[in-house]
Amino acid sequence: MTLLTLENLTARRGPCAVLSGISLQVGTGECIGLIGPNGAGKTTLMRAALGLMRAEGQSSLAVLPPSVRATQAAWLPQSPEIAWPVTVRHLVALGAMARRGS
Amino acid sequence: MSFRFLILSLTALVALLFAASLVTGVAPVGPGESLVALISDDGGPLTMVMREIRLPRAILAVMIGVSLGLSGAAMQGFLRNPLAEPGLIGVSSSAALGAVLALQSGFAMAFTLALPFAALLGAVIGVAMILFLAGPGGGAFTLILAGIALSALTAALTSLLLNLSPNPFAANEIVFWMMGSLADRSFDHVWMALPIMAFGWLALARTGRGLEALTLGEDAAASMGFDLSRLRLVLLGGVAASVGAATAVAGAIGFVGLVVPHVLRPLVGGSSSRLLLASALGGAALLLAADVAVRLVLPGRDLKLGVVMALVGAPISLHLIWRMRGQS
Repeated sequence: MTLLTLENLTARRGPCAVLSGISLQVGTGECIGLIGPNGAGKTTLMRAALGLMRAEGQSSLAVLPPSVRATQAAWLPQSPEIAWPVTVRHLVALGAMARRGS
Repeated sequence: MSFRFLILSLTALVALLFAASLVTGVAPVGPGESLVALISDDGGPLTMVMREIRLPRAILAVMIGVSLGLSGAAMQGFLRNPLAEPGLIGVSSSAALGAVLALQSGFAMAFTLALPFAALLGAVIGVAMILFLAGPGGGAFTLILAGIALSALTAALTSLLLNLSPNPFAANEIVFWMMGSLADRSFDHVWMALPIMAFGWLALARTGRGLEALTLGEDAAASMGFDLSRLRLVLLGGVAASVGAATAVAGAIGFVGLVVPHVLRPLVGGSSSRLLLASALGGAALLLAADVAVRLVLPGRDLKLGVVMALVGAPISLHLIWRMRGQS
């Protein structure tokens, strides 16, 4: 079964195309590592695939309504450290928030 | 410490301080006697004092403390910044400007609640300007900048009014009003502020899950299916209503919204949604305690609540900064 399909995905920052024409299929049980130097567009690809930024082309996840998408994809960004100390239990539980529903 | 135990202890603390606030005052009456007078229906002078002066004062302290604590926790969670506070978006300074305009123009004398009404109007205009300045899609950074700009503008206009005040008595009154106080408030103030504050509390209570998701940043929250621009609108509306109403009836009272969430955050394990309830209770407790303190330290001298709060709050802030420095 296919979990994610990208077709001809193009994402821009201003006039500059960061990604152009990316197509990809990810199926059940696959584990994929995305490797590239700084600025290659790894994060941009993830964000565009999730619909967190505007992009041309098709992403099977980005077209879903946000609440449905949240049950099918999780995103843990490489963010600056969390603003205040959070217990490990609490941090892990955050990942289940979208699935837990209420 | 479990969350339930924390909430129960804070509730008990608020109840205790509420009783302490009721039995504190200039009238030389014992605690038992004054509480009996509050309940009995004899229409005597002590019953009048208890029901018309001390009871609304204690109720307002709780309401304003809840508003400031809750708004502070919500603002810190939304901006993911432990130094954020409700005044940051300029609500209290625009409310203050509204009140100063009313005092200066004489509108404050037009009817009983003219002063808080003008302050509330100032807060509404301030928030409308913030929403307009920060735009629909702006992030935390834009919001902070817009808030700083608005605060600077309203503070300058307030100073200008004081500067050009033809009447030294009006200027004096303005300065005292801006210090923040709960003295000489009545149930009229309670009834005026309560519906607006309650609306704000309900709005802020609904932001808990969104704030929780924001712990990991805006992208992570968006990927969890939260509509961030809607969250921001609800949150700003809630802060504006509760803090606007609080400033309108009591003047500017700082530090509660900054210090209370900060102190309580470790006790809820860093959870932004649990912090909302804890902070609301903590704010009420701190404000009640400070309002008891102003009456005990200098009885009969009308020491201003905002002054005491800053005197207590500033050293706590310094201590927090000292501790943060040690950690990094």
